[in-house]
Amino acid sequence: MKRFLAALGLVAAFASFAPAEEPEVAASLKFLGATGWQKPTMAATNPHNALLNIPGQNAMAQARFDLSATVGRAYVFANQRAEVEKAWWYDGPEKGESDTDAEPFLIEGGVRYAPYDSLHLSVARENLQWGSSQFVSPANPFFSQNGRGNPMKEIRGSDFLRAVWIPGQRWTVSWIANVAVGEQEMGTIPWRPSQALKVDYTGEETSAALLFHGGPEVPGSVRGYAQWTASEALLLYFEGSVAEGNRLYYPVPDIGPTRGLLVRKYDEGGNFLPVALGGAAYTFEAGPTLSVEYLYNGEGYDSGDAALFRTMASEAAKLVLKGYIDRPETGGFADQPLRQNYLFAQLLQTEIFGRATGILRFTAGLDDGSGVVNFYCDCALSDHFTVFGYGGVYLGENDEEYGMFVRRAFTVGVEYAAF
Amino acid sequence: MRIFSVALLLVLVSTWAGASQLTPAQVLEEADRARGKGPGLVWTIGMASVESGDSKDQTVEVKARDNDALVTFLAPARVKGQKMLMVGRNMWFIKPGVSKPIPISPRQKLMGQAANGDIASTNYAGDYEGKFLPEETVGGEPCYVLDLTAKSGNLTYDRIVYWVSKKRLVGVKADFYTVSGKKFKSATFEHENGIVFNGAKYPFVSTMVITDAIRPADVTTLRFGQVSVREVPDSTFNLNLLVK
Repeated sequence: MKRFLAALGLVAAFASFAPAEEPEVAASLKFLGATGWQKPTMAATNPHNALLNIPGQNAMAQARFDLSATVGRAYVFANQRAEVEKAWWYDGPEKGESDTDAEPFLIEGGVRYAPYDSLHLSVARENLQWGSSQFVSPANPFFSQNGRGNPMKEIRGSDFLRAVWIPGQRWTVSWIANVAVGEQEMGTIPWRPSQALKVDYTGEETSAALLFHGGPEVPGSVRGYAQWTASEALLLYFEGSVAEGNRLYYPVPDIGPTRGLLVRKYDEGGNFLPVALGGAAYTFEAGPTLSVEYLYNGEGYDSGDAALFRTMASEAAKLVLKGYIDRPETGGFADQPLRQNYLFAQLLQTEIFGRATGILRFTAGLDDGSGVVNFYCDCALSDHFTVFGYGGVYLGENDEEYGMFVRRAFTVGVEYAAF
Repeated sequence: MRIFSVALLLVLVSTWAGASQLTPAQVLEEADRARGKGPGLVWTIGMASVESGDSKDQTVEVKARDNDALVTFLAPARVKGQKMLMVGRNMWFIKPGVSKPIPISPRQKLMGQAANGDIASTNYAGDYEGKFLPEETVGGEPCYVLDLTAKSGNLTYDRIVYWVSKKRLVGVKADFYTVSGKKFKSATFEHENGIVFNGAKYPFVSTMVITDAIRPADVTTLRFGQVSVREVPDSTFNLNLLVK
């Protein structure tokens, strides 16, 4: 963190030597309010909602203030958030209780300085995203979420140093160092510093990138993506990665009361785990865009892993119910696919009656036959007010990936854009 | 001697005719400059759409250089900060807070009847094969009429019939056709703006009115603000640097 602040100060000092020009300032202020309901599955992996303690209802109010300024060769930005969240439990160990949490935080912000038009240096908290896929983003080693499923939910930034060199119109070379966790939500996987070297190419109708990533405690990986505008209506794309291990948890048999342990099987390296996604997006003349993707997740659980994981979860739940152990940390498992083979489809329609957007997504876990239908919609009531809703219906048996934890979830909200 | 005179006269006539006859490509090159193709241009566009009786307004800023364009939404407040980047045929939509750029196809609509390709710089000369149709008069102005066919399959429009003023060499009217050959929208252009480049003054588009061919009451009007010629660096069109 100290190094991050020192770098921030250094870049700011450079910026102070910029020629005295009229700064270009941009600002926006929005307010969001939303409330949602979700129905836990109460499966063997979460009996009486004892293990996961999923709240039955959430409510959130958030202020989003974004400020940016361009002064000479320096660009400064700060996206501040203030959030109040409340949760209510209708079952489980906290049935009848509620909890309120309030926090201000800088979701993104930093300084970028361009000593030359072709070189840009930055120290910033950012949500760095790239690639064409909708479902997941194997080409991105820094963020497991891509935010595509819910345009209203923001992904919190992590702290980066970046040097971006643009040798020509078509090529970009970036050095990216993730130096602090920032506000990023890591779940069960602890944050570790890492670096990446990324090379981008943008052609007349294609774009692609290759990225090399690693760190002292992070297994090395090669990642990339490619996209082709095949016709005026058709996009074809690919994202993939090959990692020499990972820091994910896998179940291994154990004689203990949960019959297994979750261990990081592949964090020592030496195991090459590929993840590959291929997709296509077609826009019909009537307007909607249909995207279809297939994912092979070489880091996912095979059928043996999945069976042992379910056994461990149900045994752990029994021990929690009896009071023998505390509820374990479980966050983060829902952020990435659990198994190995998935089919994803999305229907997107914008400009519905000139005001609304609708997204319908279906994810099918091909390994166990379960799936989830997600939807998102928003409608502009005026130049300032937008109402939105999103949710999901989880289709699967209680022992299948998309049937284990939540049966259905639904959120409605309103956004007011002040300026 | 008489035969020699007639031959000389024919040569002179044909030489004079060749000097004043522009090719379709040359006509398109001149007309493209009036709609944004150039070294570096920045302009704002006010878009007013009437669709099924419902009206909507948006304002965008466009930075363009040759075939690349960055569109930044300025108003209304609920879309402020959204961006659209066009690099060649590649297009991405970027929404603040949702930082993974969304790749979009040339066919996807921007607003009302305005497709993404309508507000960016045009490259009809590079993208279309043109042939002359019989000349017509539009608004009292004699016009070349060009039948344009897309050279590749990934352009916004597969076929355009384009009226270009013979005197001003700017586009005044266009009909856009679907792949099936059906006319689906029409547009008219006014050029009351002007830009100065390399010491010469050129007309620039000031208004584009797009009308739905099937529902003529659905109209989108694009009003182009004053244009400035300035250097637009590569970094403007770089996806890695489109910060929130």
